[in-house]
Amino acid sequence: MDVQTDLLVVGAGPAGLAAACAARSCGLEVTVVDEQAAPGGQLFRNIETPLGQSMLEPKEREQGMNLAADFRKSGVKYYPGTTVWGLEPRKVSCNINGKPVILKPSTTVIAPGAMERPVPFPGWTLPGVLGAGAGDIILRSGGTLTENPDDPVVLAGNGPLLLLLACHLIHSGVKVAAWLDTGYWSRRLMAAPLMPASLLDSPYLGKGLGMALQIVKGKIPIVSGVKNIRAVGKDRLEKVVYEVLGKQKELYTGTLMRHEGVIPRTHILNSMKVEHAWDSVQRYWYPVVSECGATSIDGIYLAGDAGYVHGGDASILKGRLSGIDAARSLGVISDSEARFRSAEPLAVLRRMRIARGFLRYVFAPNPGIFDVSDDTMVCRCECVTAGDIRRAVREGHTDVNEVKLYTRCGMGQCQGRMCGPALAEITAAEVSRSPKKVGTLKIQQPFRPVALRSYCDVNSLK
Amino acid sequence: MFIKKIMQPKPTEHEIIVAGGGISGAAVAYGLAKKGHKVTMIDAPTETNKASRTNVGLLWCQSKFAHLPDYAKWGFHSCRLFPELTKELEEVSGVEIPVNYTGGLIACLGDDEFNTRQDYIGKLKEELGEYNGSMIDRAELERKLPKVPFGPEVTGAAWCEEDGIVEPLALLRAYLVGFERAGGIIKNTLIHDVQPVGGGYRVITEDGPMDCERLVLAAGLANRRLAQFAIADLPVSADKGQVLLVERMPYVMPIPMLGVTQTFGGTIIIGFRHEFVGHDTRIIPEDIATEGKWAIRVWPELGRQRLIRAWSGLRVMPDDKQAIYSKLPGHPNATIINTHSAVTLAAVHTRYIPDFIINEDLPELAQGMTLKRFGYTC
Amino acid sequence: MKDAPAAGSVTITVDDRELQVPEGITVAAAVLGHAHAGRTYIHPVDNSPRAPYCLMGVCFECLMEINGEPDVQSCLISVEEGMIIKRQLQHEEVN
Repeated sequence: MDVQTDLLVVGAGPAGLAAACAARSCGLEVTVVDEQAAPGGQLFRNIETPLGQSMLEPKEREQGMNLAADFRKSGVKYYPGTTVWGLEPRKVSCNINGKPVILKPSTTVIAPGAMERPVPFPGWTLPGVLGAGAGDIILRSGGTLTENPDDPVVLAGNGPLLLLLACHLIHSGVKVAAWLDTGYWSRRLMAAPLMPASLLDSPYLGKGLGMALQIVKGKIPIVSGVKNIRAVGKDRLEKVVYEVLGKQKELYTGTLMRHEGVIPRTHILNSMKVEHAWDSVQRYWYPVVSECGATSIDGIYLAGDAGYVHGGDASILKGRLSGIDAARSLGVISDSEARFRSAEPLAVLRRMRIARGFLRYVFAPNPGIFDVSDDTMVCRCECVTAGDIRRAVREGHTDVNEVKLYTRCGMGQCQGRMCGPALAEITAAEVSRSPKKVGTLKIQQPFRPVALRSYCDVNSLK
Repeated sequence: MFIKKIMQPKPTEHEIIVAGGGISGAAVAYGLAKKGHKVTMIDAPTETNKASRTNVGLLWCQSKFAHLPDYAKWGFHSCRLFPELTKELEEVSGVEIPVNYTGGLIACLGDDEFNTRQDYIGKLKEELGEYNGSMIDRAELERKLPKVPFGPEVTGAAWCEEDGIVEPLALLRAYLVGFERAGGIIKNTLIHDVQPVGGGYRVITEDGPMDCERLVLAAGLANRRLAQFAIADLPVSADKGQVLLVERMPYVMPIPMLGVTQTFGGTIIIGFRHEFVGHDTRIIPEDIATEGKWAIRVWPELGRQRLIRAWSGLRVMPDDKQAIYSKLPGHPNATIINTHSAVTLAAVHTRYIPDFIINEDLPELAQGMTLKRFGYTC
Repeated sequence: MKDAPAAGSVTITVDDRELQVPEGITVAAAVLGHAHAGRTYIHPVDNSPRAPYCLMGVCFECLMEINGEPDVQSCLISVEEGMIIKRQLQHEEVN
């Protein structure tokens, strides 16, 4: 196979597909790798199948299907089922269908997307407890969330996916026993002044309002100001216990879906020492990139929600912009042609960002969600508790890498993806500082577990 | 200038300052505190080169070094004292220290390697007079580690029953807790400079100056810059190690094996490289791939296991491989400690070095380990 | 004589139980949402029952044996006709 190419796009979600198509239409040789089996990422999951299309709103469905169709027509080389475990400028190590390969692109657009903010709470490892995104994926796979169709599910948290999931649940006739809102009302009120700007993006606003209306009509009981959520059960979830206004309540259910916002997937870029900034309202790190996704490292772009979470349609625009700039950086199109091609997507993207500014506050995570009891398991891979972390901090380790070393939190196979945010928040809370001040986990390749033999074979090729 | 002088915080006063809170510093600080001395140990808070975090925890006295017989015996002596040390530390600190005194192995691939290793052991026996290690053939190796399916090229191993493996972070933690309980003080700050002042020393830190009567430099590679007031070119270098960590497996290797060994948690650590490339701690996949391939030749099943992560770090290596315990030239109240094998030697460090710091002699075995051997007067 | 699978669906085996699931979905989604398997593995460190949490490749709690290959992230693999899926509910003694 051709390992050398103009542009490698890592990720076949909205941003990745758009970057690939835009670069290809400028004439570049483009390769796309993605860990999933089909294009579309999370937003457009299974977009090429009737099942995948059925759960989307008509406009989104059309957008996704067009993007996938353009992608297929474009002549981009596409390798699904590929895991990338090493990435440096011009050298990307991956497993393509189980075989280790080193790709040598001149430029790379990294578009890994976003993930749900992982928030530990007692009992969250019990079968029956899922992220809201996971629940949505099950529905969009034609499956059901409970074995018995009459059994209710419980939603908990604060964030955009919870809205989406609630609508899908209503649409699918699933009984929702309650929506336990952990949100932060003072922040939501701060969003109010920014809401008029949202008229700049009325379709998006309309979509949000439409969802909210459905939820009200669907008569889901919403409980606000929820604290101390606990999942209880022996071998699987049996009930959800929570506190509201100082009183403890419980709900019997076998399925709980928790969502506390969407955060950029920063794993790969962290390993490359790209500069990151901390958003103190959204409480996440995001890479500092130019408007067209250029990072501080020559030849490396970052596109989509992994740069900052603005949503799928914004990701498509960001992808296009980085594809165009990659072509410009290689000298394949002139600066003026790049400006010409970028003008419209840039204008739309700028309007979107202003219009969606209020979401930063509406869905701001409540830092109290990380104030979990000592016996709560934070690192699922190595079974490290919040108490273990706090003890290490009290012994003088105030950097997350030190705490990781002493507790093993973050040393397992997920490499800190699931426990990183909580590790930082709990460490920071213990020393009364912002999570911004306790460091970020040092990431090195391999970014994912890879068979030792594969790693050695591919790195021994001379 | 004048205003700056008034604004300087007043130096705090200390009897003994130990610069460096890694395994070496902690071992001697604990020993000193036990004897009733007032010790302040200074350790950098984060992200500085920390060799104590960059090791497997091997208690290794075999196979070093035919040209340094006293150093070899020093290592054996420490390994023999280790059980007493860990027992005492566990009692004093309440920290559990996982440790195995099950011996150690160095695998050999092919006949040539076996013979070379055998010759070396012969030399060791000659130089040391007595050396408690020997070659074992493949059959014997399989009897010692029956659950490890060795690869076909493995011909045998060098075996020493006095080696072992300890969980190094637990050991360090036990030392630190034990030190504090014995009255020691730990200060987490960065040292900017050290200067002789009056009859003692001034340690200038980010949080202000600290004066002491006696100084101990146990800061690993940082000793090079901290000892500048006495030595321009401390003969100690950064030794880069890169390591592969393979996922947890059923516990089949109770005896540690150099270069590929199973930790107490079940993960496998692969790596035995020494590189002198300055302070570059980048992981070079081509380099560790070589070690990975070697490990797969020794234990083929590892090839199918998943590599979870790779890390690298800098260890300390005195230029002639031997430990350095010495007064600094012209400074009888300043002691410097540098060694590659700080974990193995922790027991002798705790037992003997505190006396040396207080101006008694080094034990006979260690008397050749001062800076005199590099031509300094001290 | 088995009925032909419905259009757009495939037949897979989960722990020796056959079932029909839509084409194109992931193995993890099939095991949770169709087979309703509940737990999918036992954690080697604390022996607790676990199941996939994120279904998108981040949590690593969806490892299953697929067509004989162990430790596959089943949320990244599409179901295929005749696929044999086994949950990894036993693990050898670790320490």
